[in-house]
Amino acid sequence: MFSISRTDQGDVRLTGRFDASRADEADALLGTVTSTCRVDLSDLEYISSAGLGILLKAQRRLTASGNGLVLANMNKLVKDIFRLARFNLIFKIEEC
Amino acid sequence: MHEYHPRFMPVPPRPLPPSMTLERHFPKAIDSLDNVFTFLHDGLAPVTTNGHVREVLAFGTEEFFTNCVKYNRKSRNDLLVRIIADADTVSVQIIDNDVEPFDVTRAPQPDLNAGLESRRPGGLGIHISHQLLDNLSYEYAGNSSIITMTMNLRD
Repeated sequence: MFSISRTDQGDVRLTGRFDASRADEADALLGTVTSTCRVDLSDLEYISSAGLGILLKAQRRLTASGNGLVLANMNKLVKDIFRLARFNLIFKIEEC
Repeated sequence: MHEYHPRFMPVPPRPLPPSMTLERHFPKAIDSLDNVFTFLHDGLAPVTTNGHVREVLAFGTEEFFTNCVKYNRKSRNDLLVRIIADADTVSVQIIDNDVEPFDVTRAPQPDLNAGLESRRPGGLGIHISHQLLDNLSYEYAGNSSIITMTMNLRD
């Protein structure tokens, strides 16, 4: 089960399992983000490289206008995947 | 002639737990992923409760399954996903028939130091899988690609 939504505070919240079959859904919502935005990953159990690609696409678009995604509250597996992809070099990561 | 007390009767050595193999065919389509994950979840449940082992195998399986969907288009044959477990290891194989060889263990490394503008997601999945798995192997036989991902069950 995967969901992506905006919170009342304007954060993006990802929950569940972000695999290749959910890429279009995530791409559509992230495409509506136009300014710097916190992405709450506290309930994200799993992300594949398809999910990384969607986040990368949004980050590239936002950074071009001086904005960006701030990723928060990753679990250990998600953190390991980001580290191995060296996404810590291109995303701001908020540690718990 | 010896008479054995029943309590000390010789018994045959206990057999080792039998190895387990489960396999299922899935249509070569991204839409199959939900069913692949369900198959993995159910198949790995009796093998290990280690969440890390299960998630790493799920990650690798998704990466190589989707690669077969995207790049091995010559054949529309179903993909075979097989779980093989014994007391020490658990492996997931993905078998794609009637395809050209592509040794995933020799795939080019993505440029992980590239800046944001030039970063591309291609190759990341193979790289991360290779790092997370305890072993990744590739075999090509009879026009079939066989990718085997293995995790150790003992520390």
